[in-house]
Amino acid sequence: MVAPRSFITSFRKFSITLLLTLVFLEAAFRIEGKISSFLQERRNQLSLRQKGEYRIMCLGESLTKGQYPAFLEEALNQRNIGIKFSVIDKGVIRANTSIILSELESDLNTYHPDMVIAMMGITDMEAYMPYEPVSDSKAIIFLKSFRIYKLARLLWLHIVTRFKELRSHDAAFPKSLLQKTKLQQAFAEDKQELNPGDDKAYLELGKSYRNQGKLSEAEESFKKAIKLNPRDDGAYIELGWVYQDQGKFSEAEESFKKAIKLNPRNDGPYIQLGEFYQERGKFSEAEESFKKAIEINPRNDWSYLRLGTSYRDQGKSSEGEESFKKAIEINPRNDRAYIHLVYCYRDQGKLSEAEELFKKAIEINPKNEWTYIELGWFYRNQGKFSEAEESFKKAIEINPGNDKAYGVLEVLYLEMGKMELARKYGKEARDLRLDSYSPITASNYQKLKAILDERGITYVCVQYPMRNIESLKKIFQGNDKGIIFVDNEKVFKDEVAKYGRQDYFKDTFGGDFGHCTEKGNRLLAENIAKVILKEVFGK
Amino acid sequence: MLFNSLQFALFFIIVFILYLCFNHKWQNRLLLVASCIFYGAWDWRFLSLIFISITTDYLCSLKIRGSPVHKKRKRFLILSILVNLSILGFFKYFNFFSSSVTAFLGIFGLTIHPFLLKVAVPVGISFYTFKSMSYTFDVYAGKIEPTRDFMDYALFVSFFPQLLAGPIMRAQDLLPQISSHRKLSAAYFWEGCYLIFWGLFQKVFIADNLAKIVYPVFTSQGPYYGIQVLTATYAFAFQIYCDFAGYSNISIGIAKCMGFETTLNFNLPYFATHPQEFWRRWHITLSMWLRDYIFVPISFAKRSWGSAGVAFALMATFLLCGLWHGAGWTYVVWGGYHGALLIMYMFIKPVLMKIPSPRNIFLKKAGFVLRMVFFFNLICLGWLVFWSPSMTQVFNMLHALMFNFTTSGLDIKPVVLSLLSFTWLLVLVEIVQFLKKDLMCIPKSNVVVKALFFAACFYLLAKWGVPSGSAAFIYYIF
Repeated sequence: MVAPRSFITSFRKFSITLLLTLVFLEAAFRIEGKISSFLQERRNQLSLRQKGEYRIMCLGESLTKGQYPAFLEEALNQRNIGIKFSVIDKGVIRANTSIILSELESDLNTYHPDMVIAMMGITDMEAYMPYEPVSDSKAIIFLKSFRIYKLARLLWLHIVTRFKELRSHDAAFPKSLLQKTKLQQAFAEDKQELNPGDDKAYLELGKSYRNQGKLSEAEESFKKAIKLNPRDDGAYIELGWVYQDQGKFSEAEESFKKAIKLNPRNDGPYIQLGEFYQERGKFSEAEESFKKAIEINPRNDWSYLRLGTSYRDQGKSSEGEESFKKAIEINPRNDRAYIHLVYCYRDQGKLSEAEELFKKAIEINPKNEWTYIELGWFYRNQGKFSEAEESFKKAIEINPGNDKAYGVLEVLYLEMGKMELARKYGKEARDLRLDSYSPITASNYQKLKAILDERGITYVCVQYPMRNIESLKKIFQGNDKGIIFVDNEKVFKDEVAKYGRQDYFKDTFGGDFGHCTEKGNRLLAENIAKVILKEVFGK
Repeated sequence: MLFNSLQFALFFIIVFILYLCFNHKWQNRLLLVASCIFYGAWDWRFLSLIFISITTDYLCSLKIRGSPVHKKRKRFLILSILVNLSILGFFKYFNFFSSSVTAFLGIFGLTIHPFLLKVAVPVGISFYTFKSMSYTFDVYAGKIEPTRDFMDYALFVSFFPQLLAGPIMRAQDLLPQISSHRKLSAAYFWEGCYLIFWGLFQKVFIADNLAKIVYPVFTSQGPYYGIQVLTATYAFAFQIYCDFAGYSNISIGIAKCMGFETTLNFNLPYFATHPQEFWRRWHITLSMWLRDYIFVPISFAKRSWGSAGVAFALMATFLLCGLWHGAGWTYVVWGGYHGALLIMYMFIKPVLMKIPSPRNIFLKKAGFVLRMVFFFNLICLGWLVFWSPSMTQVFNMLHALMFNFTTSGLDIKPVVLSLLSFTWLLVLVEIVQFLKKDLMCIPKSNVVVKALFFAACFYLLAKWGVPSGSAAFIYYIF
């Protein structure tokens, strides 16, 4: 068997090696950082020595540092408008907006720029470097100052996500594995270079486009899937919903009916058609459709649930009640059926039964925030404000990212006359709706505006490639006078569609975009130069 | 379960902890069960195939040993070979031959629909079949006594560290380690851990990152540019080496943690200066297998032909070697290319020997480096054929290499830089290993060197990262 003593001595050796490894690693990171900032500083000093020119300072992260600024200078000077431009690169690698702004005052005093360009915010996002509560302990702060601490943290996060993936992992056969990663890559890179014969891949791609709100791309994908496999009723259904999103209602109806025609023995398409009618307010057609679905498959609780809602929409409360009860009979663990039954009881004034049912629904699925929101409304309608408050807060606890929950709390506090709290939750809800921007990013963009306004420096806000400019504008909540916005959505999307992603981005750092290639940086620089020359110099 | 997956890490930790708690008998049972789970995780249906292989070879070997009549012994040998080869042939080569025959008939204007099987190739089938066959051969030749313990034999074939892609160990090396008590020691454990770490680094960092350079070029339909083909081929030379040697290191490391000694599979192959040396350094267990069971018998049978017989045996062996790597013409051509290199070397070797080696030590070393670099390029030419999906692509790429070697309009600098940054540590480590003539020189060195080595690995990992969705090992498909 094993000799424990020799293990202990060798473990000691191992620990010493590990410690020394960490020391070397830390040193390597620091030396690397020092060298690269030294080189950057030298370049900046060189451009400072050239007097009498228009100075532009670029702020940002690794997408700025050593990336587009050099090309921007080239692009601006090539136009020969009689002004000599010099661009100072103040990008900081691995920094968030707060770090970027921390050096701002001293940089402004050193370089006296005439214009500041900011393209930042991506690193503030939770997914990149999760938010950590600030700890007061000095030891902890010391620990966090190590580069290897950050590295270890990232590694840990990586392992945790891998574990999460593991749970939903199916049998790993190399071939399926390869296909899967290829698919995922295709999603991540947002390109359509899928296996041209794989209709399922197009279906998945279409769904992901629809989730991202890219409706015409989604439509295109589903159509391709149908072309490849004209007998796929699922693709017609998805296409129907995209048409609905686009407001093309007759096309949508056509598409659903096509799905039914393809597979008349399947209740799914009937349910979908019914749901479509319901959303269009055609309740009797919806009822018809759901009944058809039940005729085909009488054991589907979902059909009964939807049939019940269509009864209720038409004011047939008792039929609705029957239908919901039937759904519960088929599947006693369908918490949504209980909620719908609650409405029936509520309408009939059976309040205590209704409350019982809520509890039942929560018991079945305690992680459904919507149940709590509904329960809160239920209490609020009865004037039980404190219970309602508690229920809404529970919903926020389950999903802190649900802006609806904050919204209802705002309304509730308004009704209760607690203006302070109402304002607080209202702000919270609005912040959540600011698309992908964290409150930190927003406040730093605003802070930057205040600083630059005071000094009379032109402020240029650059949106990342591929991203929508409107969300960046929203940050300033209308207070964006004097700011020059540079939109990189259309320019990049057009070019990427033409030449392919890999020509412009080296990786998928930001999800839809990444660190630029030389070509990408040139495009970015050209676009910024164009906007600056037009907006500032009128050329 | 891939060696580089989290599932495997969990699996091995559990198996290893149980292994430490058990005595020898139960350790073997545990390993057998673990091997079945490991293989069954790919596809439980393929377990039946490996079971057929094991039972046939076990019983045939006993019969071979038990019967004094030569004819009867030969009959059982042939039975064993037939069973093994038909499984291999059916699952791996049927579609290849079927479609090749169709294409051949197509030349004469005959069009038939090829009968293709819709089955996946069972992982590792080429490896465990060869392992099992070598046992029957050795028993037939009287080199070893057949084991009378079925469980031991089943573990020999299905031993999970070696199940999917070798090393193809011989019965005389592995069976005694299974049947007798194994010693576990701290030194073994740490050496095993070092090998697992270095193997993972080779696979996950070097090979998978290099794949990003190789993949776009080898999958594109052209037109190709010479410089692109060149860099992608160099990158592939390192990719396939790190992929397979990385796998072998992990396999050897895992076995070592559990007290097993494994036959060496790679011994710095790119330091070879001639084809013979290359095959003594690259995938050693396979080339030894081919030497002992194919090359030696053929050259013995054709000994009357003189050196032409040896050449014939070489060519036949390496064509088979190519075919073993995969059912495809590019593999066969690759095998033929290496066979041709060996034959050529056989004939020019006497001439080379007559060239006096320079006295000057510096000139001597320079000559060695030159020969090494020259031969490395010859190997790379082979890899280009090996990794191209079709012969048409091979010709297109070679054409680009020779006539379209332009760099205008191409930004090749980042590719070269990333090629260098992925491989410099490997090259450095291997040079040290080569000069010290010791593959384990790093774990044996002092604390500072070790720490520098690990720091460099982690630095590279942090700086460049690992591509998401780390891919399967290349050699699993062979």
